[in-house]
Formats: sequence, C-alpha cells, structure tokens
Amino acid sequence: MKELFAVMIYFLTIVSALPARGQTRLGGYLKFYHHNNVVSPRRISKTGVRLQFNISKTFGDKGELFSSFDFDANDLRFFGNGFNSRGSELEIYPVEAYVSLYFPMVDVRLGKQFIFWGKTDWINPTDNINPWDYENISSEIEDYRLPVTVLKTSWYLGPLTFEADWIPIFLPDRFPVPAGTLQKGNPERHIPAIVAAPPVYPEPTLRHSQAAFRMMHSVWGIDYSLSYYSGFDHQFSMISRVTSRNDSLIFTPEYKPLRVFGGDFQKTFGRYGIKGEGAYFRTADPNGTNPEIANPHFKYVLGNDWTVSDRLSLTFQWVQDIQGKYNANLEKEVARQNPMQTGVPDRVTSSVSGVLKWNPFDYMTSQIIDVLNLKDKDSFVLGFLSYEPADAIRFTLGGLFFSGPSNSPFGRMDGEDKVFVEVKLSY
Amino acid sequence: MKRFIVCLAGIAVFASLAMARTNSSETGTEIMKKVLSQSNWEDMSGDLIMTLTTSRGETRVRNMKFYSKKKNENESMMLIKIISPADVRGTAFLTIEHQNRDDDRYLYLPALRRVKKITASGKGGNFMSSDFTYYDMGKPKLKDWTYKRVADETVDGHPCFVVKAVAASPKIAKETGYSKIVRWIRKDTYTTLKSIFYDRGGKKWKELSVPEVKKINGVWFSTVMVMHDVQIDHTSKMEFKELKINTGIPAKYFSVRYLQRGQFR
Repeated sequence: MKELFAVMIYFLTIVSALPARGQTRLGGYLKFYHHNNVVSPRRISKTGVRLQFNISKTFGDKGELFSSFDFDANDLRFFGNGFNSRGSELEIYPVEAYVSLYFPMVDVRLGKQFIFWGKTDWINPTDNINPWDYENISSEIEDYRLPVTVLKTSWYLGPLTFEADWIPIFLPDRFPVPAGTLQKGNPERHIPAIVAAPPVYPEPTLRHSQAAFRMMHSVWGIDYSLSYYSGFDHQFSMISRVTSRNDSLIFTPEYKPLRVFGGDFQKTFGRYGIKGEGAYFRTADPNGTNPEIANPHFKYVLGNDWTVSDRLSLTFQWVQDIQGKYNANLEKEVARQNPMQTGVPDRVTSSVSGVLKWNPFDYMTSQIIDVLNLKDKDSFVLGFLSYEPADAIRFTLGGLFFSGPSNSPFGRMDGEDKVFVEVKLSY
Repeated sequence: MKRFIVCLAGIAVFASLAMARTNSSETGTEIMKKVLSQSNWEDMSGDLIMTLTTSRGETRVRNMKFYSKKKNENESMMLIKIISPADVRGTAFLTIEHQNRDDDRYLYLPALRRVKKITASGKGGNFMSSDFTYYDMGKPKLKDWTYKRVADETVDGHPCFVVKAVAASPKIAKETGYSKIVRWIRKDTYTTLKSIFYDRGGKKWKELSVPEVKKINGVWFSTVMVMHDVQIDHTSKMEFKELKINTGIPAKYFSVRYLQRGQFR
C-alpha cells in the first residue's frame, strides 16, 4: 500500500510539474500471462497480470518527459524434489522514467531507461548496459531486459555521432528463484537458489560507477560503430574462500570488473542484409591465471538477413567465442576439483543462430529463434504464434525449449522447458 | 529501391498536375510525361489514415503522421510515425532514397528505444502492410514503361485519356510485380482517376480509384486513393489530411536522431 501511495505521489508530482505547453500522451497495456515448466522434476508455474501505464509529454524540439510504470500481480507455484510452495506478490516498479533535453548538437537523457547497442539479433557482444531478466518468459524482447539509471548524452558532430553514458548504479542479471525466496528487497533474487553465500556487489560509490562510449558513422551505405564499456560483469563469478572458523569452503558470487571493446556494422542490399558485431571482453583475470574468473575473450557474430517476401524473413548468424590466455591443463585441473563445474570449457566455442519470421495470414505472426552450439549439439529454441483479432489486442502462444547432453550449456537447462500464453491489450 | 520517390511523389503521380490543354493528338508517352513532370513540391507533411478491409469485411485503421522532403529530382526522404493502433504507437520508419545504391530504411521500435536498419522486399513490397506497394507510392521512371494510348473514355463524367503501360523489360516487371498498367487520366487536370494493374502472368491484380483530388499551393494531389486487390479481395484506402506543402522542413529531421523523437513539429 505504501508503494502504491509512493507511485501516486510520483505521478501527481510529475503531472503537476508539467508546464502547460507541450503535448501529453497517455498509454500502456494490460497483459495477462501464464508460463509453466513442462518437464519434471521441477514444475514452476507463474500466472499474472501486468498493467503498464505510460505518460509522456513532448515539447517540440526542446525535450520530452517520459514515465512508464508496471503494476505486476502474480502467483508463482513451485513443485519439485518433494518441495511445494506458493508465493504471491505485487510488484510496482518504474520501467522507464526519464527526462530528455534536446540542444542543437547534443541530446541528453537522464533517468531509468533502456539502451540497446548492437546490430545483430539477440546475441549482441557490444550490448552491456542493460542486464538480462531471465525470470521473464515472453514473446517481447523488452520483457527480458532490465532498465538502468543512466545519464545518456548523444553528440551530433556532422556525420559522426558520439554517445557517452554514465551508469551510477550497478544492476546484475536477474535469475528465476523459487517462490520462497521471492521477497522484495532480497538481494538473492538476482542469483540462483543453489548459491548459499550472499552475493558481493560492487560498492555503490562514484569510483565504482560504470561508463560506456560509442562512436557511430555511416559510409557507402555501411552503418558502423565502435564502442567501449567499463563496468562490471552482469553475471557473477563464483569465488571460493576457506572460512577461518571451521576451514569450510564457501562459494561467494561476486560481480567482477569488466571492460569491453567492441564494434559492429550493417549494410543492406535490397532484400538482403549483412551485419556483424564483435567485442573483446577484458575480465578481472586478464592473465587467465584465476580459474574462478572468466578469461579475457573475444566474441563475434556474423549474420545475414533475407526478406524473402512481405510475409517471410530469415536471419542466420554465426557466433564464435574465443578464450584468450587459455591454459588447457589449468582448466582441466579446475574442472576436476570444482564440484560445481560440469565440464572443461573449450578455448573456442562455435554456434549458429537463426530467426524466422512468418506471417501466414493477415494479423497472424509466428517467430522462431534458435541457437545451436556446434560441439555439443545442444540448442535453445524460442517460438511463438501471435494473432490479433482486433487492433491492439493480441493473443500469443509460445514455448521455450532446451536440449542437448546434460553437461552442455543448454543441456543443463533441459528441465526448464516452458510454454507460455499471453493476452495483451494496448490502450 | 533506386529512384524511389516516396509518398509525396506518389501522390503527385496519381494526382499529377498541370492544367494543360487537352490535345487529342498527344501520344501515350507525351501524356505520361505531362503527368510525371509537374510535381513541384519540395517538402510535405500531413496525416495519413489508412483503412484496410478484408474480404470478410473486417476493417483495421492505421493513423500516421508523415513528413517528406526532396533531396533532388530523383531522390527524397520520408519519415512516418504511427499514431494508432495503440500497440504500435510510436513506431517510426525512415526511408532515405539513393539513386546510385539501395535506399536506407530504418525502423524505430519504441519499446526498445532501438533503431534498426531493415531490409525490404523490394519495390514490389507492400507499403505498411497495405495493398499499395512502395512502387505504387513512388514516381515511376518514364523509360521503364512503353506507353500506348488507346481509345478515350469517360469515367464518372470526366473525359479521360486511356494509356496502356507495358513493362519495358522483364527486370522492371520483376521489380514492380506488374507486367502492365492501364491508366485513366483526366483530360482537364492530367491526374490519374483510375488504374488497373496486371501481374507478371498478365492476370488482373489490382484496381486503383482516386475519388478525391485537391489543389494545394497550386499543386494537384490525390488526397484519397483506394486500391482493391481483386485476387484476394482486399482493399486499402489512403486518406491524406492536413496536407502542408513547402513549409521548409529541415533536412536534419530525416535522420536517425529525429527518428527516435516522439514529436518534433
């Protein structure tokens, strides 16, 4: 109830602060969703309704205010390994809330917002500002990302565009956890339930804030950019420590510093397009000597788009991740000693991914997104079918499926297959 | 998408212009030259209401704002922002035409705050999921077609030239999807009143009717156009409202920077 009052006060403050001039727009959506694990031994179902309320006010060439709030009420049920639980929660949170100011050569946007970088589909090595939300299952990619508070500046200098972003507060990826630990304010909601020790986050100080820079340009129809991110890995490293009290080993998830040097490009040729994106990840273990922290690595994606017709389009991508400072003997030894590690990581991992979009009929859309790791033949598939019986009303039925050997990245997720249904009404 | 003259040029094609005096000895090519040569606008903005009707009578309405500006005689730029329906509100498209290479097309997705460069299914691709193609919306090149004038007819009380245009090459037919277009052109205004489009197999495909033309700033424009796909019995109606011509829209508006903005005029 306190949260609701806070939100109301927030809105009243914003609305009352709005100058009389300018154009105000209200909108949003109401979305019913249900997703359910389909494979034993773990069965998790989540059912909920989300109301998103957007308000924006534009001031022509001068600026814009935008605020988007989610009111999400859901029931989560967990069955498995003899443990049954049920949890309900009402989450009220700002999705985005920012102010934009436009100057002749500079645009400034301050507040909670999404910033997506990269030109390839779904796998974007240069895209490191917004963390991922692995708790949500949805047909809309924005549901898989978490907005962050950023001071974003875009500088337009002739044909060049520079972007400089300051991210003062670190936010990690969010993983699904059993209902029993779904308590608001519980920091463990960002990590899997298997972790016992509390996570160690970067200190919330100026020195530990994050920054990102990008330069964009276009020449001969080729759009390209160069980028740099200095911050923290959104995924934790498991750091082992021997406690002094009883010499027991405790694994602690820690979010380590990360620097990413990247670039991307894209060009279209009528129905066809080529694109690429790559980044060098300089981790907190630049010499590859600490087996508990990821080695520095280079990840790239090369892809092509093909618009076959107005109803069918295809995207194919080749993905490679190459470890730097790779010491095979060390990796084998670590894998042997570490009970939480199920295999020896390879120096080079290769994958292919594809996106197929097909509109078999008017107002019906289907999409399949697939990633296949070539060595272990493990794969991930997200597919869905949407139908719009009327404008702004959409039914979606979809599924998320993992397969592969039990020690492979997607094979380990084999019990996490899910189906989902959504009904979305936009207003 | 070379020499694709966007929306406004398209209006000019259907509406064309001159108050030239009827000359019964004019050939098909001469008539079409007059139709095509008098689009004298530099920029244009307005509201576009597109109504799509299926064979079952189901109707969907899309409201958009559009802005267009000519770069030169053969190249133009167009920005379209969707106002409704609500689920795609804020989605925007930017097309920058290039004569010597493929056009640049960008899509802005408001939920992601993301701009994507997109491929397209060519000139024959549907414009905003309607029965109009990008080619229909643009200004055709005179040399791409061979024109033959046939017997004059009267349509809705308007004396018309009838010009049969045949694709000059298989490449043009493939690009546009049309093997032949028959146009009824008003003798008094040299504006298109009606057209029939034939597919590459020579089968009747679509019928265009232009129930309303208006003269704005001395230029005739088709403010209402109805395209009926007779093969699937689907109809698209385009209505242009609040048309403003030559208001001096700055070229900078047709950029990725402005594509991302909610509203700028």
